[in-house]
Amino acid sequence: MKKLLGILVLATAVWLGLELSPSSGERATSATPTQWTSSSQCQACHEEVYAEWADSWHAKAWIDEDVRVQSADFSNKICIDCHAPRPVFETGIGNRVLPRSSRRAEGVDCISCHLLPDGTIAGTIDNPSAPCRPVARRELQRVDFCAGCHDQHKTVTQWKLTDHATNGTGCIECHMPLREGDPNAGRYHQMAGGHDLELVRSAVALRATRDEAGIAVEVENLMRAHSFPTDERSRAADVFYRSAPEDPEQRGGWTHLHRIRDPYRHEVDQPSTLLQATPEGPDGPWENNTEVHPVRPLRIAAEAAAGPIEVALFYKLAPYYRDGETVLVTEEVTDPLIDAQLVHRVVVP
Amino acid sequence: MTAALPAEGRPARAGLLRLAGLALVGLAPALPSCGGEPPPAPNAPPALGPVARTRSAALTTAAPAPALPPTAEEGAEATRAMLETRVHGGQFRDLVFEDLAGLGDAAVVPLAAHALDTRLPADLRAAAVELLGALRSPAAAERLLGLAKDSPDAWLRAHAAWRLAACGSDHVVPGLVLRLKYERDPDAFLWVAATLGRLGCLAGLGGLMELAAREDARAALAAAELAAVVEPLGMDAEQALALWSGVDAEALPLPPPSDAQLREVWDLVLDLSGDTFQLRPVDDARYVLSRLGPWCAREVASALVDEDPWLRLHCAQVLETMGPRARVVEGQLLHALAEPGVAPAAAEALGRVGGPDAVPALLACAGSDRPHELRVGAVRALGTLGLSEAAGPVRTLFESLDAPAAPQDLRMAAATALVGLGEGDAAAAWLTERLGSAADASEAEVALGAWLRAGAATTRVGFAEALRTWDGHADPPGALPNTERAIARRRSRAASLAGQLAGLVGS
Repeated sequence: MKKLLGILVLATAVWLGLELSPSSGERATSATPTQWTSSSQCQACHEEVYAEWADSWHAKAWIDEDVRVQSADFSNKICIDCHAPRPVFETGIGNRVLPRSSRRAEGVDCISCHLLPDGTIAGTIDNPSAPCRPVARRELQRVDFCAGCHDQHKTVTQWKLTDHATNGTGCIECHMPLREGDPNAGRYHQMAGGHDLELVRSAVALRATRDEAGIAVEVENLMRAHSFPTDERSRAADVFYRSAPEDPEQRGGWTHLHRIRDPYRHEVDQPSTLLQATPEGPDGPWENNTEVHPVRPLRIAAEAAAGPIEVALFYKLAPYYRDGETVLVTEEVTDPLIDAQLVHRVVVP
Repeated sequence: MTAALPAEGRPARAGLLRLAGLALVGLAPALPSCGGEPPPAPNAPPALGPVARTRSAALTTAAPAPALPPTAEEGAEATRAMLETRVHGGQFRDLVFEDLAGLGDAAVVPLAAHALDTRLPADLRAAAVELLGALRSPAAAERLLGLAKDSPDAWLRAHAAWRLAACGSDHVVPGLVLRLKYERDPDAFLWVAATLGRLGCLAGLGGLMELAAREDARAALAAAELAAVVEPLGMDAEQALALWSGVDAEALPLPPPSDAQLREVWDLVLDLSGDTFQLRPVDDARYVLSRLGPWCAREVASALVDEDPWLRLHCAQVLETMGPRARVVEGQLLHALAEPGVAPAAAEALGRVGGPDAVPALLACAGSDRPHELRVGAVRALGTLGLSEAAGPVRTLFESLDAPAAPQDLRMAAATALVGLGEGDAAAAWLTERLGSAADASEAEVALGAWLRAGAATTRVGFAEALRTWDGHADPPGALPNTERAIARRRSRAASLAGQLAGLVGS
C-alpha cells in the first residue's frame, strides 16, 4: 500500500508539475499574437509610440517609488484599480475601471486603452491589413475615456465646468498633443502631466509686487482647464520667499508662505486650498474649499519684506518634504528644492 | 524530477501528462488520505442575478431606516429647556427624562442640532448627547452615529460613541467600524472600539488592547472597557482576538445581527457596484464589510454571483481582507473560480481564507491552460496559503519560467510563493537579481526580507547575520524614501546578499 501511495504521490507531482509548466505558446515568437496580453506585443510595429509610452508615467504607474510609498506597496487596494487597470472598454467609457491581477508592472498599458472586449484592438483608423487589425473607435478621444481614473479626484468634473469644455478642448489637446502638430502623424503617447515641468509652468502664473504693506503675491490658475494642482491629494504646490541680496552667497533659507493642496480624508483640520478653475462646482461651492478663486492673493508682511525678496512657486509630486532620511514639517523647510521642483520665481527689488 | 525537466524533453510532455493523469483518475479514491487530490476540472460558470438589489430591497422593507423630522426648529425651544434643567436643575435634573419621553423622536433632530451648536457651553452640548442616548430609539442612534462620525470636535465624537453603547441599536455598527478607519483622536477611537465591542463587533478589539497597553492616562480606562467587552465572552482579550481573527470566529458567543444591521450591510454591498463611481466609498465599504463578524462573510459571499462585475470582484476582495474568519464561505469562493471575471480575485481570496481544500483547486487554476490573470492570482494564493502540498508544483513552475520571454510576473508570483511555502532557497538567487530590476524590485525585496526573516527564526546557519545586514540597509524609522534612496537601498542589499547567498542557500 505504501508503494502504491508513493507512486500516486509521484504521479501527482509529475502531472501537476507538467500542468503548471508553460506551454510553448508562452515562449516568445515573432508571429502575431492571437491574444493581446502585454504592451510588449505592440512594440514591434509601434516602436515610436511604444517608446513614448514606456517613458511615460502611465508606464510607471505601478513601479514609481512615490506611488509605492503612498500606497504602502499597494496593500491599499484602492490604488490598484487605476494603477494597473483592466481595459477601459471592458467596463465601459465613463465607468470606473477594475483592477488587474497580472502584469501589474506595466501599469496603465497599451491594453488598458486599446483592447476591446471582443479581443480586437481599438485605434483611430480601420486597418484590416495591419497585424492587429485595428478598428476606429472615436471614444478614444473623448474626455470620458479618461474619466474612469482621472475623475476619481474630480479632474473631469472640474473640466466640464470650464470654457474648455464649451469649446470642445479636451484632455488630449494638452496632454496628448499631435506629433509635430501634424494631424496625420498621430498623437504623443507620453501623456505629459504633473511630471512635465514645462506643462506645469504653462498652467500657472506667479506674480509679486511691492506696496506699502509689504509684498502682494498672486498665484493664478492660468490654464483654467481644471484645478491646480489636480487629480490627487498627493500633489501640492508651495509658495516660499527669501531675501535676495545681489550676492547669491548671501541668500538665506526659504520661508514657507502658502500651500496649495487638497487634504487627505483624515486631515480634517486642513481645508482644501486648490486653485480651482471655476468658483463653483457642479453642486455649488467646492466642498471644503474656502478660497476657490482661480487667483490666490497672498501677502508677505512689510517687516519680513525688507530689501530685495525672491518669491518662488514649487511643485510637488508628494505631499511631504524628505531630506533623504526624514520627513520634514513643511513650515520648517528652508530648502524646498530637496524635494520639489521650481516652477516660477520672481525677484521683487 | 519535474523540476529538472529540460526544454528538449517537452515533446514527451503530452504523453507523460496523459500517463500521470490516467494513473490519478484510476486510483483517485485512494488519494484523499495522502493529501493529493487531482485538480478539479473547471465548473460551468455560475448563474448570475440581481442578488444585492433583491436582498437590499427585502431588508429595507423588513427593517426600514428610521424616519426623522426634516428640521430642528420644531422642538428646539423645549429641548433647549431640557438641557438647562439637566445641567443646572439640581434636584429636578432627572425630571427631564419624563419630558423627553413625551417628545420621543421629535426631540432627536433638535437635540442633535444643540450638540453641534458651538455657541452653547460644552456641558449643555454634552447633555444633548446624553438625552439622545436616553431616547434609546433607532432614530436617536442614527443621529448619535452622525455625531460620532462627522462632528468636528473630538470630545463630541467620543461622547456620542460612548452613548451609542446604551442605545441598543446594532444598525450603527457598520458606521462605527468605518470610524475606525478615519478616527485619529485616541479618546474618540477608544469609545468607538468599546461601543463596537459592546454591540457584538470585535473590529476594534486590537486597537483597544493597544490603547490599554500604553503607558498613559488613557490606559486604565481602555483596560476597563476591554474587560467589559470580553467578560461576557468568557475569555480574555487575547483569546477573543485570536478567535475573532481565525477560522473559528463563529465559536464566539456574539449576538446575531438584526435586520436593521443587515440592511446597512447590504447598502454597503451595493456601494461596491459599478453604480458607485468614486473609489473612496468603494474602499470604505470594503473596509467595513471585511471587519464585521463571520456572519457577514456569508452575506458577502452570496453576492459573488451578483450580476454586477464590480460588485462580484470587490466582494471577493472583502473576503480576502477578512481572511480566516471567512473560512465558512470557502466553498462559495471555490465556486467563484469558475466565473472568469471574478476568478483571479477569488483565487487570491482563497489564499487568505482557504484551507487544504483550496490547494487542488488553486493548483488547477495555475495550470498553463488557464488565463494568465488567473494563473498569477492562483500562484500568489498558493504562497499565501503556505501549505506544503503546493511546494513541488510551484517550484517546477518557477524553474520552467527561466527563459527571458517567459512571463516574469508569473515567475515573480511563483518565487514569492516559494518563500511562503518554505522553499525560498530555490528562488533566492533570482530574487536577488531582480532587486536591480525596474519592474518588480519591490516585490523581490519584500520576498527576500520574508525569506531571511523565516530563516533567522530557525537555527539555519548564517541567516541571523544576513538579516542583520539586510536590516542595516533599511530606511530610518519613519522615513519615506524617494526613488533614488529606494534604488540605493536595494542596490546595497543586493550587493550584500549576493556575497552571502552561497552560504545561506541549502544551509
